[in-house]
Amino acid sequence: MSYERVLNPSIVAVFGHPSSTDALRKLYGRGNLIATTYDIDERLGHGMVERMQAVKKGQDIFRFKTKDQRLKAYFPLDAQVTSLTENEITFMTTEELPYYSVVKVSVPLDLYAVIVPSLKKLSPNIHGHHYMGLICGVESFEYNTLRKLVNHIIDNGIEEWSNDSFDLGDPKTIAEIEARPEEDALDEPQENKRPDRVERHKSKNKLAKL
Amino acid sequence: MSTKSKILFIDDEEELLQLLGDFFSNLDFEVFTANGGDEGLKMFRTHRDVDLVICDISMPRVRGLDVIKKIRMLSDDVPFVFFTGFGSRDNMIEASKYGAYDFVRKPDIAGLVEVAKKAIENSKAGGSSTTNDPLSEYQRLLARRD
Repeated sequence: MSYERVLNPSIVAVFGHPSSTDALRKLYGRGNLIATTYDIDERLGHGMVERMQAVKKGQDIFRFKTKDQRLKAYFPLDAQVTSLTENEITFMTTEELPYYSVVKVSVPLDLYAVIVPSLKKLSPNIHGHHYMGLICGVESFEYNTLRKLVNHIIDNGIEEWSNDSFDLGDPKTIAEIEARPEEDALDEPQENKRPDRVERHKSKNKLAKL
Repeated sequence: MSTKSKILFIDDEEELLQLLGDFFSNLDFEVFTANGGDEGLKMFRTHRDVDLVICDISMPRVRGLDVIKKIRMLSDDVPFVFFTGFGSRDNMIEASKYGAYDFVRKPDIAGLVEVAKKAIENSKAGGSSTTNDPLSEYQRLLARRD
């Protein structure tokens, strides 16, 4: 799905940018974009609201408080996960993302991560950007699944996956997992030691920037 | 004193430079051509009064991105149009940070003529490199949207 379809008919105003409206429209494929070298100020802000009200005459206008959940914007984003632990995730993406913004990872499980300046050296990505995120806001159930996923990757190596192809089995509680003796795994026949592999599609992992 | 508008073309393709030079000369522009970014920079230093720079992005040695960076140190005003091929979007995004007037895909010469005329007209009218009246443009977009 393109940005155009997701966000139309919204208008994007870019303030304080040296390039022209035409250049940025072509660059980002958005017909509803205005660019101006001016920084946004009170005059422009009031002018924009007044003009919107003039056009919207007779229609309802909604205003939201700054903490209103409806002010959140979701931008779908393709990304390639390069490492994953229980606490952090690194990924490559073609889009530039600001530090301390929140991304939602939707595959292979739902989790949120805050993008931070990397605490370790990340290989450069010639096609875009390489980021590190600290995983946060994970419920105990997802945390459990995340732990199993990390173990699964350690056992099976890193491959691309999608929601449809990744099957971790029935969820277990942390107590159940911790209660499982490690010897069980060692005693298993070699052919049964690795979990059954399921077909994995070559789809990229999906992140959504908040 | 010449009243023709002056355009500086910077590209590493000799044949394209020749073609563009002839084409724009016939449209009554005064044309300067430079083969590559380094020559383009030298030429800009000796012809600081050009009304428009039209430059390729992907060039060996001195790239279009380097050209606009250095020209912006000399002049904030001269409009800069990138006449570029496909596959250089990252460079285009980077170049836009230095004030690109427009991007035209090769080989759309008709489109380039249109953009060149508009850029020179806007520049001579004293307009900035972005929309002169964001509120009017905003109102026009609102009306179109609704």
